[in-house]
Order: sequence, then C-alpha cells, then structure tokens
Amino acid sequence: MTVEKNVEITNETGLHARPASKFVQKVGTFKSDVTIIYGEKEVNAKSIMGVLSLGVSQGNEIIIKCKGEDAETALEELVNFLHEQMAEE
Amino acid sequence: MILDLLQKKNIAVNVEAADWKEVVAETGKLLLEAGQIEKRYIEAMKQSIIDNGPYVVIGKGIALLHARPEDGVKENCLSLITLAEPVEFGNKNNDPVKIAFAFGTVDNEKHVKTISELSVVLMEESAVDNIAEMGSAGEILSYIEDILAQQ
Repeated sequence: MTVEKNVEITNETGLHARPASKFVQKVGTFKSDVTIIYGEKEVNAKSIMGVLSLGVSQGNEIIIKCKGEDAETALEELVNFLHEQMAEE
Repeated sequence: MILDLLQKKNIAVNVEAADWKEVVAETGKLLLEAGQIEKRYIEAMKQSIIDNGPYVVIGKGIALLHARPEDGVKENCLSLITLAEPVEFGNKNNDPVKIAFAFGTVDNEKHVKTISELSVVLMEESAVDNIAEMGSAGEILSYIEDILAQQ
C-alpha cells in the first residue's frame, strides 16, 4: 500500500539538521519505505543528508510518501511528529 | 554558494584532535581567526551537542557543527577540517568522524540553501573518504567545484 500527504513547513529555520535527524530516527521505527518529495526531488527519508539536500525552508510544502505494510500508521505518525517538532522550534 | 563561503583560510587538513570537543574547537578556530564568529560560538556548538546529542554527525564520517545565530555569529561562514585520525562522537550509525564542518549563519533562508548544496556534495559516491584523504585546501576546493559543476 502507498499513501502520501502534503505538509507545510511552518518553522522559521525550515527542515534543518536537528528536526531532520529526529525525523529520520522516527522514520527508522517503521517498516515502510518512506520518501520525501519536494518540487522535482524525491529522497529517502532515512538519510539525514538526503533530507537536508532538499533545502526546504519556511513556507515550503513537502509530500511524505509511505509504502509498505504499515504505511497508513507510519504516515499518520510521521505527519503528527513533524507538526510537533515544528511547534517546539 | 558554499564556494562563496568556504575559502582556503577556512580549511585545514590532517588536523590532530583527541576527542569530539577538540574537533569542535579546531573547526571553530578557523572561523574565529577569520573574524567571522565570537569565541562564545565555539562553546555554544559544544553545548548544542551536550544538550541534543550527536545528531550533528549527519552522515557516515561527517560532522556538521553549528549553534544559533544569536550565539555570536558575525557573518555567514563555513569551515572544514579533515582529521589525521577519525574521532568518535557517540553516534552509533555514523561514527567515526573523518571530516567536520562548522557553519554560522545570520540568515535562516540562505543557510537552508547552503546546507542543501553541501549535502548534495557529500552524498556523491565516496565524497567523504575522498575529501578526508586530500592533502590541501586547494585540492578539496577544486573537488567540490567539480561535483557542483556536474549538478
């Protein structure tokens, strides 16, 4: 199963090293393949450098895509996690 | 964009460092000597690792050291050291660190683009090992230039 959802990046510093590394760790707890799509680029969400290479800043919208047996749970939890992270920044 | 920031004066090769704190000190020193940060920025970079853990080791063998703009950054800046001997940061996936960057930013928007460009370079096949083995700043800069030219 493949599911995806758009997320707007709302924090001032964008998707930078600290939130990216926490997000990547969270991704690692799911069985699904998770990718982040931004513009024409799509990267493996298990790589911090991959995520950083997207250059996502405040006001940009990304798509989180999960593919695998736990895709739905993974997507829901990862989107919530990102929102919580951004609220903390 | 990283080539605007990363100049020869910001690069040191084969640096001796006994532990991660010395890696931070040596990488930060290049920015301090160039007049780009205040001394307290180096302490802030160390404190960030103590507070948040070794997340700064963003890929195999690479540390990307930084603190916040208000911790004493005078202008956007980036430095790089390659280590004579690899150093453990306590990051089980990506240790030991062979090369370390320190950056300071006064501008969040630009910083995201700089880090993006730097990540693209470091994701190149064997880039970290290649940079770690280079003997001079000039060699490293032309290597980075070549990778960016291919993008």
